[in-house]
Amino acid sequence: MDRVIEIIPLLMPAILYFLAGIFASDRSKRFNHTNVLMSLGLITSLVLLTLSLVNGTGSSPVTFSLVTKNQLFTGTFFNLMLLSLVSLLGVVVVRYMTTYLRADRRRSLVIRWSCFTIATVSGFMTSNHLGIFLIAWIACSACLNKIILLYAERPNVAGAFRLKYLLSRLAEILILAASILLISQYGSLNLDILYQQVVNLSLTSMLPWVLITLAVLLKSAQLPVHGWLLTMIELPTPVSALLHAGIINLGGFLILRLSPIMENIWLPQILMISAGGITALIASLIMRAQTTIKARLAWSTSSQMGFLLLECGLGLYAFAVLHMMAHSVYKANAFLNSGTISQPVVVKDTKQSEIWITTIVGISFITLQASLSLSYYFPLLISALFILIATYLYRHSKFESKLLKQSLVRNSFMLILTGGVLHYLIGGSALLNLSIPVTHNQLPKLMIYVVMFSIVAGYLALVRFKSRTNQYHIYHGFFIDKFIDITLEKMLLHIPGLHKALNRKIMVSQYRLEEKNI
Amino acid sequence: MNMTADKLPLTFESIKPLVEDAMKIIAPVWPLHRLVAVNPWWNEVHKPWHDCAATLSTCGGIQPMMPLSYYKKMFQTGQILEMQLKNVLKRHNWNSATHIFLDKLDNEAPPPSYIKVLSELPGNTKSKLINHRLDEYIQNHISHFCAAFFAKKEISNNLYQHWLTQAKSDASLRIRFPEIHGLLQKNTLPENWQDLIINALSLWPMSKENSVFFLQALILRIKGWASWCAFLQQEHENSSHLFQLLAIRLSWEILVSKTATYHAKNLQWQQTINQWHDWYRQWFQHYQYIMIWQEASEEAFQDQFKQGLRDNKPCYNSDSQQLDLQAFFCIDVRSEPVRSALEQTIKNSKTYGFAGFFGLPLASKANALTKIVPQLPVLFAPAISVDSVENTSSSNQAQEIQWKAIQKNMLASFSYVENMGIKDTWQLIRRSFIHPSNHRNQSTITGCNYELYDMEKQSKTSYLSLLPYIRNFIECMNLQENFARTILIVGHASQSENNPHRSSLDCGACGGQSGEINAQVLADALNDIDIRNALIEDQILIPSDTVCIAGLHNTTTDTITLLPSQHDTPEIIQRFAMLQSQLEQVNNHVQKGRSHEYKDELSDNISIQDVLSRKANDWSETQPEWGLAGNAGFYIGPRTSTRPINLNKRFFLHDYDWQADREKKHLEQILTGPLIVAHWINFQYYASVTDNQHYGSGDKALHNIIADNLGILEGGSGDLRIGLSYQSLYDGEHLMHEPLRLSVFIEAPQDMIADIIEKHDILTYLVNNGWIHLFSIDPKTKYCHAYHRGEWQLRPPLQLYG
Repeated sequence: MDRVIEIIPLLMPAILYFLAGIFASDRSKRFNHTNVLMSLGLITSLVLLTLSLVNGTGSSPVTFSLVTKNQLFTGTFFNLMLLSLVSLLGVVVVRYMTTYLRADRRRSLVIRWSCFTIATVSGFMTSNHLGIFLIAWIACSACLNKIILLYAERPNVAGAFRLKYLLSRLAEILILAASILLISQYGSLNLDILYQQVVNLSLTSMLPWVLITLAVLLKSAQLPVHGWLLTMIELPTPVSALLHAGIINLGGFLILRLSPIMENIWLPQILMISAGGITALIASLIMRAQTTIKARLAWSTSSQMGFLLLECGLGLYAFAVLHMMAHSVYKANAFLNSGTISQPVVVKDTKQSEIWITTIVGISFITLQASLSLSYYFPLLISALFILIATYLYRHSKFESKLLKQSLVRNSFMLILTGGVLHYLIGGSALLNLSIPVTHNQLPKLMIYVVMFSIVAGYLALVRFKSRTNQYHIYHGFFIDKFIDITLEKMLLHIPGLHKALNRKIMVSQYRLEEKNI
Repeated sequence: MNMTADKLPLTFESIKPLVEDAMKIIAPVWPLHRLVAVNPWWNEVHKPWHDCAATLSTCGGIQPMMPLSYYKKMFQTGQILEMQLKNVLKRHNWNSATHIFLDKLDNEAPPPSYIKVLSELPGNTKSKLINHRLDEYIQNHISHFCAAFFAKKEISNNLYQHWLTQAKSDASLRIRFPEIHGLLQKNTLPENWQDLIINALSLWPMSKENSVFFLQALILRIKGWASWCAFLQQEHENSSHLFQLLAIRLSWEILVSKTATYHAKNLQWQQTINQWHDWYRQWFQHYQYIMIWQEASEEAFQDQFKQGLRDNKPCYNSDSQQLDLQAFFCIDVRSEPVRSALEQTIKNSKTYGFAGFFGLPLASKANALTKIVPQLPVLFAPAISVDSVENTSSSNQAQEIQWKAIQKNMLASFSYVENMGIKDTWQLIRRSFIHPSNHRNQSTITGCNYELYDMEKQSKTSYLSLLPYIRNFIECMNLQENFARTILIVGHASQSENNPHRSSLDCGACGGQSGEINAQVLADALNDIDIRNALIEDQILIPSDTVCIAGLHNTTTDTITLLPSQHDTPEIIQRFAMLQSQLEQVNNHVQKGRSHEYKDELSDNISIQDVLSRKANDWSETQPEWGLAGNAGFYIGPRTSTRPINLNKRFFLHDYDWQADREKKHLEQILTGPLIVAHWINFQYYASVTDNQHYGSGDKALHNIIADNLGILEGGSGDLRIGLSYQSLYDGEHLMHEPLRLSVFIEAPQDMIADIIEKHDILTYLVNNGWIHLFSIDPKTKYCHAYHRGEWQLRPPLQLYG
């Protein structure tokens, strides 16, 4: 009984979002109940966050039962910080939908299922048990599927739904298998118990963790299984925002929650480093070639998720937390604002700017990040080197427009300064006992350098490659998603039962839509 | 069977007229930052409207008119009266057919068949997966290719060759349709597009009429991108993109016809060619009822106005004393409520309607880094550019450009997101919670800091270079002697956030730009001492105490704000303050008048001002205002006649005094300039309403902008979308625009009008081919006569009350 009472405050936001979904109906034109409940959820999670900060629960023993750890759920600062972020996004997105979808007859259903999705994500964020993670994950993707099916009348949505359905189920089966293996091995799926028990793994006992990593790669739209994310741009803008800013993070979040275990196992790390690193580079190459704003944003998400997983693989967890949060708000804002057009500008100095940006912003960031995690003195050395390069570039680059040059220098200075401050802050926050995953690494130090410098080398190789290959192939993402798509479709034909069931789902939904139209 | 051009008797030159004729079905589309409303069938106006409509239906399955059920509803609700239907029938010599037309409302016949191209016939693909429809695949394939091709900085002229090389190495094509890909690899298609078109036409030999049908049917399957090509063709004379796009679409047909699966279908399809002409004829049988009902609905609209004219006695100001205020507005339909509010609120005032660019051939340059944007109808070319000399705007622009460059860089994008991404939290909060409730107005140019720049001579210039245009403005408005003490020049602009189609709500007469700059420059020029001195030589004397002030009508919030003047004499400052306080009353009056539009959103603590300003500032708003929805009429004549009538935002109003225009110069200008612009706007709305799927841009919630404001896709696939979105035309339950062809009423003697119409081919086409209705209003008796093929017919308003 006590335990139930303890859980309620932690699950309060999720419950409120669930209620918000239930109250979403066309009877109230402004969806007042829904929006109020959503806001209440945000306030609750902010209160919980403040309490945890005041209380200082990191790994400290339980002192305050409101915000606490227990078997199934946990309310550490880190969890609650992400819960608040998700709540903010949820409130913004639902508010946005209320007005944005006014002319859409599906509005109340889209809002309802979005609220449910947000509720499941909130549950996920406070979970302390792999079983809960799995359930929340399944529920989340089921809710999202409901939204996708609402648009089944559009030509490409049916295909998108099938693809998404298959990949989600695959990821869930992987986690389920991992959970079964873990239960048989350790007798529990509670993270605290697992943290203590999982030490010194042999190659075979790594298997469940490898399965989890694979599921995360699937869910984070990593190459070559990124296709499902790209097809989601067939849905209304706020749904995309919710997907790209909230749901896509679940995989990365799980890895961060498992970081005390993951940092000791080399195989998942290698997996994340290689898949993440390759996706980060190639997806951002493809992103540049896209011509529509939403496709560009979708490819960017895939590459940013790659970078996030790369950071996780390298054990730079604190930076990964920063990246995840920053990317969420950045992407939500970018999607919701994707209808803004800008006045056409005179194109000048693009080549000079490109060289400057690559060296000063790109390469310096990658190298600094590598060195920051290792020692306190090395970053200073690297910084000095880049200041030298910057001075040289500033003196010798030939900009036509003085204004563009000045702005570029000013922007990169601002960027690097904020970056430095933020990274030191988040690195330092580990000392405050906020249970933010600490940058901690068992890999040989050399490894980080090797990876980071191969990213830079990979970049240089890709730039050369880009000028020599067919732009059209890059635009189409080398047709990788098409291959996977067709392979899955062919596989599906061999499982007639599933194929029929999926088609029936699509048909039923299309039929319902038509009915509603009349 | 490889066909080469030299074996064939045809040369491209011999079929070029035929291809050009077929491609007239496509009209240009403008980029998003300067969306120009255009009649999507503008190049077909030399044909009767019904012939054009029949072609559209036969070739593309397009609905050029509303279904009969729509008119049934109008008839049942009394919007169309039986008398009106009878009047229309009488004119068509169908006196006794009324009951047939009423019967037809209840049993609508299925529409006639339309031309399906080969790739649209269902193929026997083995898999039954839904996204295997060949025609959709082709459309997506071409659309993606075009999006990648046209979004480049420099566009080459080899569209077809590029496509051919890409398609040959297209891996997705290889796995989806291996047979087609195999054919491509075997060099089935010729290397240049001229040969391809010849090949295609000789592969399916058909009559000249049928070949035009065939080519039109194909280009209509990819009409969005075709419209973009038509735009390029208009901008660059030697562009052949439209023909090349046609060649690409034809290539698909050739490839499909050569596959084994479509072999039998090809023969079957060729059988249908003979029926095309019959289908075209059947269209008229099916649509004759709708055509009459359509005309009856237009008749109903015209009757209302004619009754208004008859019932209301014109009100004249006592001309003895000098007026306090003369206000000049754009002809835009949205200025009408503001004008009547101003006339009612400010005593001793007069308002005028003139095309929103006020006849000035301007372009604008917001800062050193932006491109020059024309500020006048696309029918004309700008001569003078208005350059802003504000430094902060340039440096902000530079920073924006560089932030974008950083976000786009492959390596720096990670750094940007990780380090700067978090600052967007503030953006999210600001845009969702603070902006919408914040009363905020936006402005396009910053204050009065600008310079005039002669675009031809590449040098700075003064107001004097605008002198001929200003003289023309004064003469056209017949102001020579009667200047008021204050002259208010009002441009208009809309305000909305996060709206790709923003510029379609701006001033149509200014080519999709804000009319602010034109108003500002005209007002400043009229205050300029050099201009005033120069005007004296033309016997135009502007009294020394007359002051000119520019204003901006924000059509979203319906408020007029005054713009600071370049000349700040105490006189101007004092009048400015006085006018401002008067305008506040006007604004309140107009805003209250809009309450009924937003009944749902009003409550005790939400006023109409709050609602309107939220609409202007909310990033999630898809229906900031109704734009020019409802437009149906164009009135050319003195304001005194229309002043007492409530026109419900349905009329373009252009002031004109025939007595001051003995040379017919001004009427000619109005009919060849503003009238065409109004017709374009009218038909854009018409087409977007009758067939939103083909000529509208669908659901705004799915819009996806293509780089450099090129246009939008709906979602991630399909053709480039043109026209207005669903949200701009429906409020969720009701249609906000009634599709009516423009009815033009001119208050001038009939000979004058007829002379001008006969002088200009384009006007003759528009009127005689039924694209617009044209009426003369007798200046004395106010009787209306309709013009048709050189004849004037008396059209009295319906006698309703006995």
